[in-house]
Amino acid sequence: MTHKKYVKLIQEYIDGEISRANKRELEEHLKTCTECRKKLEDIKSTVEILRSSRQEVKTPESLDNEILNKTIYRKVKPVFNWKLAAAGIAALLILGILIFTYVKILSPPTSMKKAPQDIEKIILTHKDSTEKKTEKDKPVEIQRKDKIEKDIIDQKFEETRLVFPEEGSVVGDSFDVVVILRKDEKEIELNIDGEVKKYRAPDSKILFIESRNLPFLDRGMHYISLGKGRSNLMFYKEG
Amino acid sequence: MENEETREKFAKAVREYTPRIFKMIYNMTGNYEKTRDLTQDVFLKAWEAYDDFRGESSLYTWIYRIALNRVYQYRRKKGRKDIISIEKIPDIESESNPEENIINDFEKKEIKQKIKELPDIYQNVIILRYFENFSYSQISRTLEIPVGTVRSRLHRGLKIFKSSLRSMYDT
Repeated sequence: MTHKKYVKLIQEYIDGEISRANKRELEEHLKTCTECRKKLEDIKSTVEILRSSRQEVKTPESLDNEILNKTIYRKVKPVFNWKLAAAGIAALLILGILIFTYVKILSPPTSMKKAPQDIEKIILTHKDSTEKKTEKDKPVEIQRKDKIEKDIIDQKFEETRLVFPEEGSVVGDSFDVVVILRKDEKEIELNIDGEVKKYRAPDSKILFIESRNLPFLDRGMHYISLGKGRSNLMFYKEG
Repeated sequence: MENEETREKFAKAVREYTPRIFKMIYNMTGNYEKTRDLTQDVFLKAWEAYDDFRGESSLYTWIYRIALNRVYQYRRKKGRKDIISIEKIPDIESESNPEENIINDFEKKEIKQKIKELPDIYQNVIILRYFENFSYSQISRTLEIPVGTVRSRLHRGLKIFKSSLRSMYDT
């Protein structure tokens, strides 16, 4: 084996990357070759000097949080897609024309038309506002603000669920987060953009949390979920 | 793209890799404040391109490669001379190892300067091998070069480094 080959092996030897057979061969060679022994010591000391200059630098505190706020929790303006909007308008126009054609040509004469039936409406209305305290470190206590349709209240909910905002909802300055609580649940944890806060509804199965009781939300995209591990929904706040 | 699983995976990577990427960029630039900005840029870029991550390499290797490219880009923009000036470094803690008392802090700074002056192709392998303790195959995957090239660049890089040290002690 040439000295050139041994130089290659010396590098691998120092870096702990040498094969067992080559290691044995090199060690045998080093016993008799002064030049290679010198070479080995030379590289070894250079590596030691290099390593000794290594300094541990302290990562700035909360840098990871800053990064998370700019990535997975970032607030972005929704992009208005002109192509999609144009396609939507075109589709609506075509649909309109088709319906118009159908009504004109195929619908029975007016005298034969049935009287329109009432459309069933389920509207959750607020009558009064009875929010309680908002003390720091304590769950915010929120009572039911209104009378909800009895049949909705009497339903047995297997699981506490977030009714509003839904995925992709657009909300204004003032809105309510609506949560239907499981029968035995009185308290929930709401996670908005990673900030978790507790809310309590002592006498209610439906919890309304007014936006003023939420962490401040500026204009843009936000994420909301119930406690840890529950599905995270995105909503957008207009300002 | 932005489902909960993706976000959780990325958040875990940010928490785990931020210190390592910060250290690596700092070793290459020596500029504490700039390292902070560049580290943020790297993760922003990684998040934007996360859809392109196919899992062919480890996530760390993928982010590391983005970091390397970002440092190169920064160097091209600023000019190498500009960024290798040694500035006051906050919160430095010396590593406790037996060689520590062989050289003093001044010499450490000088040595670091010499490392930064190495051509990029040698500097990368040296930092990865002796600062980050990467194996040859890990370096090979990270820099997308053959293992043989890793070894020869280490050897050549050490040679250049040693001769620059000689000039340091001669002057």
